[in-house]
Amino acid sequence: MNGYVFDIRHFSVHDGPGIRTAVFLKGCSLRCRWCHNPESHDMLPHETIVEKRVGDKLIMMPEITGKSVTPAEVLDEVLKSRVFFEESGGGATFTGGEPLMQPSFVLECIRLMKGNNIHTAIDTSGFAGSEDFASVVKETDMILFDLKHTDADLHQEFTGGPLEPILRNLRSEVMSDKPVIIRIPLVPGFNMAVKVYAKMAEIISGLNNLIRIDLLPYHHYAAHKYTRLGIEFKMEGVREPDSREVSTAADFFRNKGFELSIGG
Amino acid sequence: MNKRIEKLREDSLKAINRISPERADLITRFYREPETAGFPVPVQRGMALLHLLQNKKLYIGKNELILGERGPAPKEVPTYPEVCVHSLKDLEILDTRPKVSYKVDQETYRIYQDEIIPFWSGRSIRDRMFRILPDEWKKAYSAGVFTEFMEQRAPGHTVAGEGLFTKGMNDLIREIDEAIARIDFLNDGKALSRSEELTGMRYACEALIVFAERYAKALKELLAEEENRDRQNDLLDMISVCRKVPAQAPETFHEALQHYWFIHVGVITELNPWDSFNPGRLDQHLLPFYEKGLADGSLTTERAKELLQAFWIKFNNHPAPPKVGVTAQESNTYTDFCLINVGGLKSDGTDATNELSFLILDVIEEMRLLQPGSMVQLSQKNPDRLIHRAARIIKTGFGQPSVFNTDAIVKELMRQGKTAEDARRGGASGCVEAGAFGTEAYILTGYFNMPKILELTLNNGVDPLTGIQLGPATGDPGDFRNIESLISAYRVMLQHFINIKISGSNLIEQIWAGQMPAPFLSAITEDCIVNGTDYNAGGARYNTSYIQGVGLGTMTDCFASIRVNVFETKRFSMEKLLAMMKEDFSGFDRELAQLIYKTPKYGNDDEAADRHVNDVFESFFDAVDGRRSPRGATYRVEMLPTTCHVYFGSKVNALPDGRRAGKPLSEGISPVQGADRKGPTAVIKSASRFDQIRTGGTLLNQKFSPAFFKDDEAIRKIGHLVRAYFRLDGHHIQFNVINASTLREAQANPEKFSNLIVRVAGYSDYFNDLTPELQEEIICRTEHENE
Repeated sequence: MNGYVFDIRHFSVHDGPGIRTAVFLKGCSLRCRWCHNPESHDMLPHETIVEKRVGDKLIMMPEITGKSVTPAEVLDEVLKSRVFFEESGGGATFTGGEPLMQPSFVLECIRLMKGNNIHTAIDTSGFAGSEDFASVVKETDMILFDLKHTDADLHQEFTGGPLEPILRNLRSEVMSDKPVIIRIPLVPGFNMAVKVYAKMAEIISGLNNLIRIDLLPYHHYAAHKYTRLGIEFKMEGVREPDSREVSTAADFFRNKGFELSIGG
Repeated sequence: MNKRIEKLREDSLKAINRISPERADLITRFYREPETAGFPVPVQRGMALLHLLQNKKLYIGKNELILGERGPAPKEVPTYPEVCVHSLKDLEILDTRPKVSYKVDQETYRIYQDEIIPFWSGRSIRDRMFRILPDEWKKAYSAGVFTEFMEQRAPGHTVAGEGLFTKGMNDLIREIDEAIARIDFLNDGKALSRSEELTGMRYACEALIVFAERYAKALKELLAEEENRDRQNDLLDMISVCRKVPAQAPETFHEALQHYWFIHVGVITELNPWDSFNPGRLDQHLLPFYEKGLADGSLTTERAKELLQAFWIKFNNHPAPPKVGVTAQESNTYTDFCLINVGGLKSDGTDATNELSFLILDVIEEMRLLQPGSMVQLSQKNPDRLIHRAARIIKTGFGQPSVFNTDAIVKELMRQGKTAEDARRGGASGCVEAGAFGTEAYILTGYFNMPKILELTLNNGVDPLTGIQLGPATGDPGDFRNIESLISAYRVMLQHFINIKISGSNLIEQIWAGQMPAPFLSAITEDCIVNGTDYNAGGARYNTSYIQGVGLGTMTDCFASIRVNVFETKRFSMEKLLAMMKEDFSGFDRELAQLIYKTPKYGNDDEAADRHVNDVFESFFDAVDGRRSPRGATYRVEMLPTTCHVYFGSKVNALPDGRRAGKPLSEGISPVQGADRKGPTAVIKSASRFDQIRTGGTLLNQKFSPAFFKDDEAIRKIGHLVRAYFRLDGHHIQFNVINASTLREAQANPEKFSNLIVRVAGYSDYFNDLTPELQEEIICRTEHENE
């Protein structure tokens, strides 16, 4: 069994507890306008031309984004950081892209990790079939779950996908005791309103084992990636939230009694 | 810090570095006396120190609490013409160069011209050395194959042990007299030299007592004129301290610091030993005095801190002695590499961390001085609080403290034959050098340019920079059929030049032992008195000579590149690769990009490159480790460069890894600049691929942005990173927390900073991967954070 991965990064320190290795899976069926990793959208590997500096010259070199790998190969790479996991209580985080686009591959990876005493987390949009979702979540030690909006129409418009299956997964039986971090992107003109926060808080209150909420203020760092990939960047002209706006959101959730971190 | 310390610190920072002719003048007068020549050399040296300390100007700064300067005033640096004589040209270079200058006044030029140069030319250790060193040594030295430490400075790299704080000079004199009484003139063939050496030590110990007595007298004179009540009390305190130490063992915290400092000044006035001298495990040595003072009410924490801070300033008052010749043009640091050790283990193997460890860390953070350097020894047994506290200081971005693995150091020292107790009493000094404090003379003999050896091997022994046949013909490079045959030839070349280096060091060592003993340093280094033998002649309990290998990362990448590109993928033939190197890759951009970006590199936890790190390390280790020197020392290896990777790089043309001619080599055991792209965990994994326990020290640098250290969670992660490296037997790690000006440089020269990690917002990224606008934003942010 093979899966498509576009990067494996060690010393990832913002995607779960401890020092982690992040496995970036390729492919996602949502098209969130603010997505930081547009190179992950398509599941199949593709060639990009990258500029490399040699002295004062720039040499254009082809690079393949994405690679077909086996779960055993993923394990080998992840295991390189074993000593750091053991010292820090870290582990592997499957992110992407949307890891649940490749459920059986991810599941097999997670089982291999488990067999080697490695803590696992998945970082998911929640947009997946119920059975796939349940099968992977059941085996995973921790879930990082995105909550982008509570209004179905706006969700559809800004992410290209329906809200309903996401909420269904979030509320599903398999999530009931799972340690979970809810990650909320703060995107101006989309979800930065107290009434949205209030509905989000209601949904989050239903979780039995919430570790904390991560607020992820929107940044336009990834704009150049869109240019390079020739994809339209729909966030043009959208400003980044200022610190006052971020505090408003943070205070709201804190006042509701939630643990909270800004920036993950 | 209080007002007094603030002022002293400011004065120290503002003081201008000058060359003082005082010592040169005094020592010349001493040697010019006809009767001097009548005494044996070790006695002359002891008497010379007495002459210096009897006659040198005393300095008592306004509001100072710890007394004693090597020169007539802070940052006035003496010279050591008996070791090497500065020419007028050298003085001019030092005086006028824009960076790291030492001002020279007209009187100094005059004294040098009329007195110092005429007397010492041809007589200094350096002159004697270069007269008798063989041609092959000189050729290799000029070609940049190795450097030589003992041509300008005395053997050193030695650290005070705990004995130094429990004995006074009178105790040492008693031990010396007992040793003299025990000399067996009937049976011991070395009886006379022992007697001479011990007599020299006796003079040297007396010299220290005289020096302190002179201070007590001068303080008394000041007291008579002092009107300020507070200062009167200071003076009274200091008079009583100077009447006590170093003649007798210290009993109070203040006495202990002053005792050490007198001894420090003694060591660096006697000669100019490398790394000056070092109080070593300060939190251990001072603890009894600290606890006693707090218990009997004679000391408060505030007073202890003030005294420590005053002590810190004394180190900062002492820039490194100025170098001569080419070295003077290259050397650009005032640092003299004193390294205060905090934490680690007690001699019984238990956690040594104490309240004073943390007080000293507070002092380090508050003083923020270039000197003394500081480090934290971290054992598995030390609490996380120690590394977390250190990380919070590292975060402030002045490169201190560095972090060392006590458990590795203990293993390294025990492998070399030290007892477990002596090993645990040790630590690291200088840059990263492991040593048994108080009992070991561990002498660095010089850096060794491993990539130069590869270059010679790839040119069949000819140095491409000069066309000279410098080494043996180890085979036409086109005839190598696989990487193993190349490595065999490399080993032959390496052994050839290591032998030249060691022959030279053996010879130089004997010159020092015979012509320039150090009786004072000997008296305070354990077993020299008992053995009746000088520090420079093997008198210490343990004796080690190090050769420091430079270019581990560059070498690993070169082997990997040749294996992959020439023998495996056959992308280039050996002839083509050598032809491109000869042209410094000019006109071969695409090929160069292949070498730089598509060839496995050390530092990425990639087996394809890292397997060669052991070829590099083991060949160097085999060539050096276990060889014996005339003084009875054993040669060992270290992997550290200081700044020599830059000099060595200037002596090497283009290399198979894509490094261009003249560029720096890789530094310490760090990867080639910019070759590591997978973050600090991958670097740590690569760096722990070879057996660091069989070295006497390695150096690993990591760069981080200040914003990475944003919160407690990040501090903990730094702790985890360090603990993981140490679990893999890593010796040392240092975090370079980059400020805005460095980020600017990174913006201008991205290829040099491709491993620089910055915290962006919710995530961290490579600085180079950020858009110019974002880089700009982070640079501005950093400046705010540094306010």
